Amino acid sequence: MMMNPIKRMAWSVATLPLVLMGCAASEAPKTAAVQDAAPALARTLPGQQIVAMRRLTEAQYRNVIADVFGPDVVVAGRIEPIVRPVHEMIASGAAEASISPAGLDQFDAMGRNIAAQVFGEQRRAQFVPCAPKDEKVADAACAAKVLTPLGRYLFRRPMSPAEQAFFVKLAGDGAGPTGSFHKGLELALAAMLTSPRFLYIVETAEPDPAKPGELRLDAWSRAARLSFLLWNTTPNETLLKAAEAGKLTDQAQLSILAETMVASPRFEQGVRAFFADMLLFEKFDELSKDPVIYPYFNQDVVQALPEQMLRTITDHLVARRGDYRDLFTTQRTFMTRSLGGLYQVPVGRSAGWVPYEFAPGDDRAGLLGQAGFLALYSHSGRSSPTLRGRAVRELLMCEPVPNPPGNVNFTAVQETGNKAKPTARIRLLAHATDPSCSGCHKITDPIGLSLERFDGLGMARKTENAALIDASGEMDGKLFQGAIGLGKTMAESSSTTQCLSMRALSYATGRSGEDVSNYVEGLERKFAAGGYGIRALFSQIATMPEAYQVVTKPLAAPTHVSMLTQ
Amino acid sequence: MENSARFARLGLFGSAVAAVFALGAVAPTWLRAPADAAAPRPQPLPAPPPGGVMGFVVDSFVQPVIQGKDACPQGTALKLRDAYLATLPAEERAQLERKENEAQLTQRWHAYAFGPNNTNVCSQPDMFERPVMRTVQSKKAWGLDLDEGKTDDTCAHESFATPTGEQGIDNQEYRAMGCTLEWRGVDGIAGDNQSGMKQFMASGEWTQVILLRGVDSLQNDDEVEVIYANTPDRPLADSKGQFLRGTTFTISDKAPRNRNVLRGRIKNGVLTTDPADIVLTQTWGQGGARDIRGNRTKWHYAKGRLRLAFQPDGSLRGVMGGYRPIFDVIVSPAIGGAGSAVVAGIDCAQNLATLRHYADGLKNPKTGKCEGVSAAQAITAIPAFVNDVPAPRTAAR
Amino acid sequence: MKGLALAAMAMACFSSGVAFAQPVDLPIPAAMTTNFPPGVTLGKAGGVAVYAGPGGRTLYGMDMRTLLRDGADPSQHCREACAEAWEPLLAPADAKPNIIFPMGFGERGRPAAQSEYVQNAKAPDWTVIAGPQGPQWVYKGWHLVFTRKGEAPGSAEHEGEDRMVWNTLKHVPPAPKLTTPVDVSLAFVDGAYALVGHEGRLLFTGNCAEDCAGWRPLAAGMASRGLGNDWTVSREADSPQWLYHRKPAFVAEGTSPADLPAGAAVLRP
Repeated sequence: MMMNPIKRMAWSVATLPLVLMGCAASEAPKTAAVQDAAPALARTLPGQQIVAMRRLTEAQYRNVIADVFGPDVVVAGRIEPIVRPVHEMIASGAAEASISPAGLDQFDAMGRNIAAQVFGEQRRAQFVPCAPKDEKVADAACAAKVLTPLGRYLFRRPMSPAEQAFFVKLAGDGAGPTGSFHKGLELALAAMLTSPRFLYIVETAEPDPAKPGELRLDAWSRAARLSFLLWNTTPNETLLKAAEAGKLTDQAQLSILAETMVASPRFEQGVRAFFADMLLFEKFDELSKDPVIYPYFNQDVVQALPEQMLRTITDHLVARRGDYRDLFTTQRTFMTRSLGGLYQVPVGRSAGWVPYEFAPGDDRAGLLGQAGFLALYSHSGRSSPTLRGRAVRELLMCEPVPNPPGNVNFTAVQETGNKAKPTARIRLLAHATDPSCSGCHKITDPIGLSLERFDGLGMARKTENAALIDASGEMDGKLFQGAIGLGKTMAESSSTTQCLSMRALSYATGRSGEDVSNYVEGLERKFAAGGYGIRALFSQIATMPEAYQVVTKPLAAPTHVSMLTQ
Repeated sequence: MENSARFARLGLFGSAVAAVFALGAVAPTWLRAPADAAAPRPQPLPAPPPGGVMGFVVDSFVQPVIQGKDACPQGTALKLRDAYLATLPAEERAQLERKENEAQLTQRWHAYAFGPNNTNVCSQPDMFERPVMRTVQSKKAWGLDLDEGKTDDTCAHESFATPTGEQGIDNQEYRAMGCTLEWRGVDGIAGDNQSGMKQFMASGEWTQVILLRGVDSLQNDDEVEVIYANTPDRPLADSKGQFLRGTTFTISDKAPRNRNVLRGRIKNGVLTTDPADIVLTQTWGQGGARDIRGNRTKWHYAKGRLRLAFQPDGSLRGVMGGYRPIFDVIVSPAIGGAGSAVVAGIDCAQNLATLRHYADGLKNPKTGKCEGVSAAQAITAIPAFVNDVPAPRTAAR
Repeated sequence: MKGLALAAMAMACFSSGVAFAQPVDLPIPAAMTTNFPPGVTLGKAGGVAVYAGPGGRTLYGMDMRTLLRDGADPSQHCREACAEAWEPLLAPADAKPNIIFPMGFGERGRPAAQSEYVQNAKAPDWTVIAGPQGPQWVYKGWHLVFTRKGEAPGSAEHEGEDRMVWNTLKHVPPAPKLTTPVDVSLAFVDGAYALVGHEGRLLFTGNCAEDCAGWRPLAAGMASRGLGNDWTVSREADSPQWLYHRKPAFVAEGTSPADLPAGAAVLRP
């Protein structure tokens, strides 16, 4: 039932190396004669079924390069972003992500730049374990010694003999015209870095012995799944060896490894990536404010806002092993000097991040009282209770809110200087009298209005247009005051923790929220049993057998490989 | 002309001019008077914060200039070209001023900047005999009464009065330098001196902070500790360059920065400190590799004191006064060397001669001569959070 | 130390390197050579290592840049009263001067062919200038070398005198040659060289046992096979880590030993 689409996908993707190789070979040694096409994926993974391909995110790409070659290797440039499906995680978008010709150019340029650094004079001693017979010509034996371990790290499994032969030949073909063995290696590495085997996390399946006729992810795919889920990077030596030894298909051994990984300091990197995805942090790239209205807005602040939220999250959930629900009321956070100005609080040190704790009762408490959230869900020149309320509903409670109809008159809410309607509450009241609007505004605005004591940049204020701001809010029949009241109400709502469970499962598997919804209730129970700790949740997800079962849902049209079929 | 072109090509032009306050590089600064301590407060002052600790960052630190034709009735002090012409007989002067003789005039006034053994009026101003230049003729100046009528360690001088009527104001630096174009500017727009000061303050090169401790009332308090110090932290500013309130600065007392501990009191909303040596960073720094003075210059105010009025908006506004070593006043063009003279037209030797003539403080007991001038800086400061140096180090002082 | 032939000195004159100053209020640059002029040795004064000259007396540099106000060529400053108090460290009488105090903007009348001379800011440790009493040693391009007449060995009594004109010649040894990972370099910390990472953060080693919060591994690449005999890569931990002489390397929060966590030891070459 599922074989056809999978086969079709495998066939389509198999053409990708050819396209990519052409690009990789286009720059350095232009005269390199690549006579043979790269081996197709189907041939490089004999006997394995490709069941999913998830494109690396920019953060993952950078982490992988740092892990494989060292953090001193500079990754210059930006990567084509992965399109987020509506109301879903980027992680599920990654399973549908294609690479545009322009995006491929970016990968190609970055790959060549990285390869030049790796095999440049400054670093080559680290990565070339053999001396070529003559540095000016090809040396297949030495090239194989260099490229074979690199392929294992970059492709997250050993290269097949065909792949190995291809890249060694590529190195040789590059060495000839350039008169440099190392230039040849550069070419081969650049080609590896633009290979779909590297740019996509290719998940392959094998027959599931426990369920005859069904498939499960194989060991190499499990290693990648664990590593990218928990550490947002490529499998390390321990995981690769575990995969080689067949430990990852053994439930007991898989659990031991997963537990070790969530206990590692590297787990923080995984948690950061998950929340950056869940909270739509890509929107920070486009954040802009009117500098006249918000004089504290500047590039330092823009960069610090998401980082402050991530530091708060990881400090609370990972370092302090806190309860996820308390994230909405915690008074602990971190400041930089530029954020200190925005918050109007002292910062103990001028450089770097400094822990800061708001006073008990301060309305800043919790993630929703942080300027990052408040600024992101505002307009460039005014706050927006509607955007803030909608973000709470959609991102944190997984309750989608419909878009406004196309013909709405927003004049009433946009007139922030209207002295007759001095506060957002009054303006929204006027706006929401329209029946076509009021239905949705009822589920967003009473939440967002509780955050009105923070302006469109997230700075505290008591008045708007000289009128005192009423920060009373309401959510699902519960009344509260201010950000701290909203945080407590969020903490008490089961939607909050269920939403996190669903997002985490979707993030781990690359499947949509709907596809994983059957598993959420069970996961939520275990999340609760673990005191709503993030480690408990992620180790559950990392070890639940269902997450490794191959979904037999037929694929839709193969849009993600359309560019490759020409 | 040929020389000028060559210098420009060599890139020396830029560094020489930069040392003279980055001429014309910043937006015009409109002159503003410092707060008058005697003026009534239009609004009541707020209560100090619990604990009595208040921090400020200085957002303006300039020599106050009073505009008006009565200050320099003959016009601004002569630039080097005109100073040279003034040395000539009228007939020769008229001859040289003809357009066709411009090249010759340029050659001659440039030569006027140099002396024997390759000396020049700005690098070695002591080695030139130059007349006193035009000075401030009016009776008005901002500043403080530094000598309080005593004459034991001062030299004879005439005092000013403030525009608000305060008498006995000592500000001989203003008297000597207040008619230079660099100080006075044109048509009410501040001179390069003031716009340069603004630029240096914004660049973070010599950021100054004020930390008050033990403030019980902004109206009256007999004893307040005042830390007036430098920090390496650049002020954060809005898109118009205005410093932002409520940001944090950390004091540094490591070279080249300084930390002055002063004793003060508040009376009628005005904070005044006891006389003390006040030393602050003054990094000109653009004199080229061979001149180390740029790395080590200081604002040095002997018997320096602050008088700052608390403002209803939370800011401080007032004056610092004290005696400055004469050479400090011209250290910026001196660092610029010959470039200051032939590019910016500054006659440092004439500046120095004038400052010497009007020197009224730092009397050398051996010679009986004064080696410093009374001086004033107009200061405004806005609220900030200020971290002091770590306690163990302050305790060891 | 070793005596030094002038010819060898001249050869060294064209090596590059930015010379700063010797005064204590400015960064002290490392020596570029272990070859000193005849009679110059190392000693200690004012609690730090300094160069010493005849009779073990501390060498002082007269910072020519601080004397510009007194004349266009400060190399000629020390005459009369100054020369009575300070004794120049003279080079051999037949030594050809290879450095001068440079001309400034618009100056005329000085030797035109400055290209014959070493640029002061890029000067090697020891050069020769035509001093008032003959060829005289200059240290780091700016500091005309003297001893104080009658001063006891080990004294730094005249440190900073005359508004920082006179400064003891402090000695920081040249950094040892070392192959290091990119981003790792050497810094002179607490009297000896230490390994530092990005932005000069100290590298350290040790065992953090339980409280490992401040112990950030010096990250390596998984694919790296190490560097020479000194540096190897551990792939056993969660992330690949550099080992220096088989000891795990960690990166401190700051540049001072005070920034190290308890139980840590600075990594030194």
